[in-house]
Amino acid sequence: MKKILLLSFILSTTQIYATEHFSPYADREYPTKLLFGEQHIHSALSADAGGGGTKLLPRDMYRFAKGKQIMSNTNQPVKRNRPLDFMCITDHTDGMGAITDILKGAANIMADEQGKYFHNKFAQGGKTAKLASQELILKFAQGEISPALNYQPGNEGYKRTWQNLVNAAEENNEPHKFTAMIAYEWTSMVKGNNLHRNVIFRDGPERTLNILPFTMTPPMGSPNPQDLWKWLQNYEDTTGGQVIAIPHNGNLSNGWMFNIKDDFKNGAKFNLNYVKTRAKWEKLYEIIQSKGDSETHPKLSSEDEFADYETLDYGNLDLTQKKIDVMLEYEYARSSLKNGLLLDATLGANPFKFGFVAGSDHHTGIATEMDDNYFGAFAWVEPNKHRIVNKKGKLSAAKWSNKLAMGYKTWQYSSPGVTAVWATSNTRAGIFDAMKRKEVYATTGPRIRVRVFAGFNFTKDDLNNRDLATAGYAKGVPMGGDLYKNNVGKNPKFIIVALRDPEGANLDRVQMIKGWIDAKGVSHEKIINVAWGGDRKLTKDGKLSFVGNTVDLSVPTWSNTIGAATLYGYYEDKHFNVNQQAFYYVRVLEIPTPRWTAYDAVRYELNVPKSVKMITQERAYTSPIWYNPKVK
Amino acid sequence: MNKILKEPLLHFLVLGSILYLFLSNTQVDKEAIVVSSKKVHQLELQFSKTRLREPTKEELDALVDDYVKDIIAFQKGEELGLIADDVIIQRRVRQKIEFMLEDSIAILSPSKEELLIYMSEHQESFMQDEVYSFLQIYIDISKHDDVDSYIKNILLEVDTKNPSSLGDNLMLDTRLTGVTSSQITRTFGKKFMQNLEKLEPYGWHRVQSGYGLHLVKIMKKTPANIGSFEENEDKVRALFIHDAQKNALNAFYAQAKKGLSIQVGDK
Repeated sequence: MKKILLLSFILSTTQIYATEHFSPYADREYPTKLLFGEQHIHSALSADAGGGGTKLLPRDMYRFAKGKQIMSNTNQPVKRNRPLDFMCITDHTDGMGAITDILKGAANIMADEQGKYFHNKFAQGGKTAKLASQELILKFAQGEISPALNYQPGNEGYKRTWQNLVNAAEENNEPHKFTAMIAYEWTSMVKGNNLHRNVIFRDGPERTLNILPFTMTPPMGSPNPQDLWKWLQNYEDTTGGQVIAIPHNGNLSNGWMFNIKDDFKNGAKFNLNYVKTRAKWEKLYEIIQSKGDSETHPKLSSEDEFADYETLDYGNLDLTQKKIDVMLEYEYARSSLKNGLLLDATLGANPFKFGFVAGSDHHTGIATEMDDNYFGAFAWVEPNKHRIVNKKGKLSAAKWSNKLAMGYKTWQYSSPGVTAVWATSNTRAGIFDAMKRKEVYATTGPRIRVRVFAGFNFTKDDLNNRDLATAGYAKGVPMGGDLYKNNVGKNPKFIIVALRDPEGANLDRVQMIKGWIDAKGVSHEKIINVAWGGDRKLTKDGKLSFVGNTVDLSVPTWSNTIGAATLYGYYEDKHFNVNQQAFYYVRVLEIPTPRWTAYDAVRYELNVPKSVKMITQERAYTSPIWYNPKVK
Repeated sequence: MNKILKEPLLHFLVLGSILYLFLSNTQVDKEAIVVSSKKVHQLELQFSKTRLREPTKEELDALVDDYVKDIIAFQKGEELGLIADDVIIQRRVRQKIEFMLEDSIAILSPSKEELLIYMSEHQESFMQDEVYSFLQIYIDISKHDDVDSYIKNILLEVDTKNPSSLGDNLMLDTRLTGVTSSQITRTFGKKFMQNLEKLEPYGWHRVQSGYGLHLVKIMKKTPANIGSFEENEDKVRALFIHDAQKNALNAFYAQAKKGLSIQVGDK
């Protein structure tokens, strides 16, 4: 019986991976490709970007993402230190009227005499088409164009912005080399509270060109995420495509992003339908971006000495309402993962069962995640002598509210995060499917490689496996996965490997972060140091001393003389209770390195006040693995 | 084609037509706002493209009402002088103009001859990275007292054993097939790639990376090349059009500036 149970467990977790062939590569369909990309960035097509001085358009951005040098919005040459594997341009779109799309021969065009005339001329190609083009431009100029060709919001021509985005993505999508995902940002903001979601498609133009992005202004759109989910469902039903939504910046939502009651229904309790629908569409959360880190807040995780990282907690997005402590619980990833377990226990489904991704949210078309190449979140904070300290010698303000008499400074923008994806291929499908199964993680910029597997049958010896994944998938589940109550009497075990960025800093430590709810229905969290560099010893309460600091701010530089290039970790949860819901995720910390502000200080010879953070400890957060106290 | 691109007069005429387009859909005067049935139809179409269904009567009424509010607010804004100097509106109108110009170029189809010339003039844009297939065995030098003899033993066994069973653990593949130099740089770092570039295919070599020491054998190396026209045709066409659009925009602004005196700073 035990054997059968074990076997069924293995089968249930390794459906696509199981193999008994001689060749280790035959049928090896588990994801072996680790891709690093940008999940959230804007071009000049977003009105707030264009209005802010951004000139770069999607095609410029793709050139840049692929490693080519371009001129920035302020005419400074800029190049990435290495190309990206994928990018999602997430512009705020609303339709925009422009010239005709006669080539397609849409029905309303063909019904029009002039439309038909031009269509036929263009269809002939060559010189005839060229002459027709000249003729068309002249007709436009002379006002002799028929109304059917006169595109304005509402008909085919209106989707010009969207079309531009989709076409640019299609032109630049190079399967197995560089993936241009089709995406947009739905920018709902209610009472200044940020509820933004990135909408990311698995599909190409054949499906995405049949629709227009959902907006937030009624009656065309809606600011309520529940209406967005309806739209997503409708998209899938209508086109047969696939799509997900990824929220970001809970820290700017003043308690709305992960509230446990419905703010759109006077605080009514959620029902099963709500929690199920949310879990279906929102499988990921953007935990890192330029406007702050959203893992946890020092006031929520007072035991966590690394919780205060790139914290941005003044108020809501437009700074019309000050933040108060009671809001924090409903804004950050860790507390919301815990609340998700509580809602699961009462309602039967977990609405906050999300994995982690990262992005820049830069409105410049340029995301350079390395701190020595920081190009700023907006065109006006592209590199210049006064972006940290203004001409009066004061710290430059990023956002200021007269009403609240508070705001944040430009130095508080953090350098972009990067999304890492364990994919089977560098294609739209490969990346989207990995996102959907949450086999993805977030880093604050460096390309730290991390793998984690959980199962009941791992042993420490599994760490010696040359390819951790072979054992990992055979005996357990990867990040983003689920464990069930199928192995009564055993504790879950975790095998973890982390490798530093080949161009970056050594690793300080690997931590397991566990959240659970006890028998009384109270949630808890605990941080366990699992692996670390150097000769440090754990204290009685499981703490680990500071790794040290090699940063020399005068250059600025650091050295890899402390920490470790690679860390292997094994963790058995000896406090595991088979009846208690839990989640586990891994946090990997680098040794201290100079923050972007330190590079600016040296480059521009600045006198920077002490309040400006100059040293950072970059990190990676893996998507969680959940334990569900039910048999699957 | 070239003639059109270099004919600023045409672009100037397009500008005139934009103003015409801008004002053509809704009749506006001080006493009345007339929303044409064509406009209503457009709002309806936009709704169904967004919501993927037809609007209800109430929704359509709301759409029209919302549109009327747009017009009223715009009129009032104009009266109050809110339009002038609004950088968002300026950018928006600029985008609109530039889109129209770009679209007038995008509908042209360049001939194969034109594309071939373009490709030969822009070879660097079509250059493909070097492609490698190689084996790598990682040596963690901190684990071995005598690294040289450890390596010697590996080399004795390497032809009879699976290379991925030799050396020390590193979270990277032993066998890499058909990977570009750019991908190798991303995985193993710049230092490794710089060393790899210098190696001749076949034979085992010691290569340093940021992680330490690797034994490397190159199985196949395909030099950087630009590939055939057929392979690149779509990309050539896209870049050709993209360049032509940039030229048209430049020509448009150059022409528009000719009649203007532009003064920067105070007199």
